[in-house]
Amino acid sequence: MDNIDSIMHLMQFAGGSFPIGGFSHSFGLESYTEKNSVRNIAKFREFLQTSLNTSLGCVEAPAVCLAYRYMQSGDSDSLIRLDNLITALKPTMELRQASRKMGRGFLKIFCELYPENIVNDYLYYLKNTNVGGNYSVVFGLAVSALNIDIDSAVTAYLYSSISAAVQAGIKLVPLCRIESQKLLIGFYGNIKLCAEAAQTISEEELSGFSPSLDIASMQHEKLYTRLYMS
Amino acid sequence: MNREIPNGKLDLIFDIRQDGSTYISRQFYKLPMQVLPPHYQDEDGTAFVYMLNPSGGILENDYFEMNFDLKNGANVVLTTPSANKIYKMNSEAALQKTIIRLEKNTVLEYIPEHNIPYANSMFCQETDFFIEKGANLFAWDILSSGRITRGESFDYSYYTANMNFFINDILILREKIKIEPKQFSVRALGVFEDMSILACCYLYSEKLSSNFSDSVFEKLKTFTNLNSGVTLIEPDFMTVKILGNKIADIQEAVVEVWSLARKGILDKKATRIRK
Repeated sequence: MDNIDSIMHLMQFAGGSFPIGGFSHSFGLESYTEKNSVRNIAKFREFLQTSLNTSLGCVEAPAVCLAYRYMQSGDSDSLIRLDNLITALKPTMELRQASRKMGRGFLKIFCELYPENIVNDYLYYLKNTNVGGNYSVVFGLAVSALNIDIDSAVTAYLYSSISAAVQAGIKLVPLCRIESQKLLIGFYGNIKLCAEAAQTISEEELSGFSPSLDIASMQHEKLYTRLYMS
Repeated sequence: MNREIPNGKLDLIFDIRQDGSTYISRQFYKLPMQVLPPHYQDEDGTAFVYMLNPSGGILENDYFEMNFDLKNGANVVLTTPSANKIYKMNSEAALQKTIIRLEKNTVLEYIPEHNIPYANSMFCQETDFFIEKGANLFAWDILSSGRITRGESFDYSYYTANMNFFINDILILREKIKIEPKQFSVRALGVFEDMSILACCYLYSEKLSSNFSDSVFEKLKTFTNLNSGVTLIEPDFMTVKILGNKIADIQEAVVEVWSLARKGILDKKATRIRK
């Protein structure tokens, strides 16, 4: 696929308008704002950086890359193993449900757009088993099936995750629109570094240690009122 | 040092007698690991067992391996008499590997004392639980930031702890702790923040319910100086995470969770273990 086509595909899949509910999740931020622990841009930047240093950069992004490579080599056993592993690495019910819902939603729409694509085999498998359908794995195998280059794909995945978090931050922290855009630009460098590093991480090395974020996700389940599903 | 051969080993197989009480049917130990004979404080014959390390702690290059098998409806409480001290190391880390296998209808309460990594220590802990559906497990893992009362906190070189939970050979949960305080900020938002001690509790049972996990959440809310959360990652698997600054507070909280699990899920009375 040429570069322009790749850009358009990634903007469609990861640009925020693909209808998979990506903007329904705050990934623990809502618990922090409920406790008034994140109420300014400095604290929110710290929240984003920890996400990038842990689950997003050290589990999700590498999972995109691993799924991409397994799809390229036609290794369906490894894809299934990876999908199960990603589920096992998710520490809370809401994070598991969010990833599964977004992943399965993405795959279903992708398969309707590309009904002849080999990715349909994976959708068939998901329908008939308990395997997760985690978003990072599904995204990785889908972009691989379209021959989008891995650098662009994993960068787009990381950028869209940070962007979705910033959209949640605009509502919850709250942030003004200009400072939220400056914040996004400020993360370009770290996103690029994460995207490079993600391509070198093996399944055994997947890990993101962030106990306070885990607790925030657990506490979100019990919030009295919630704008977000996670 | 040859890392293929552990310098400390403890292998125990638990079975039940005709009267229904649990006993150690087979044991092997290699010092400095060893085990005391079980004592009994429950009416159902649960074996309370202390795993011992008489050397007092974990030294550079130590490699300890433990295997525990529960069979035929055995009921066991496995604990340690005191905190696990991980001493300073110059170049080689210490490693501790534990494999636990539970047949269905067995009950294991795996509640070791906390780990204290001293300044400049390097430690890797790996714990695998292979659980048959129908078994019951309550386990906790507690990590202090160091000898806090001496002013040591996050002064260790690195600490990794991997826990894998398999139900009928399917990986349900992988917890990976990797902390290198000199490489990244443990105080960052989302990591330890202003807390120093982490406790994780795990409860697997087909008798689990969302009502029970709600009751644990409500109990933990009363500990206002702790930051805690409860989740059912699967309908039959609950995890709890607790952050605090005083080991006594953390211990009180995890013992409360354990007591609730004993009464509400494991059909036992709450109890205390003298240490």
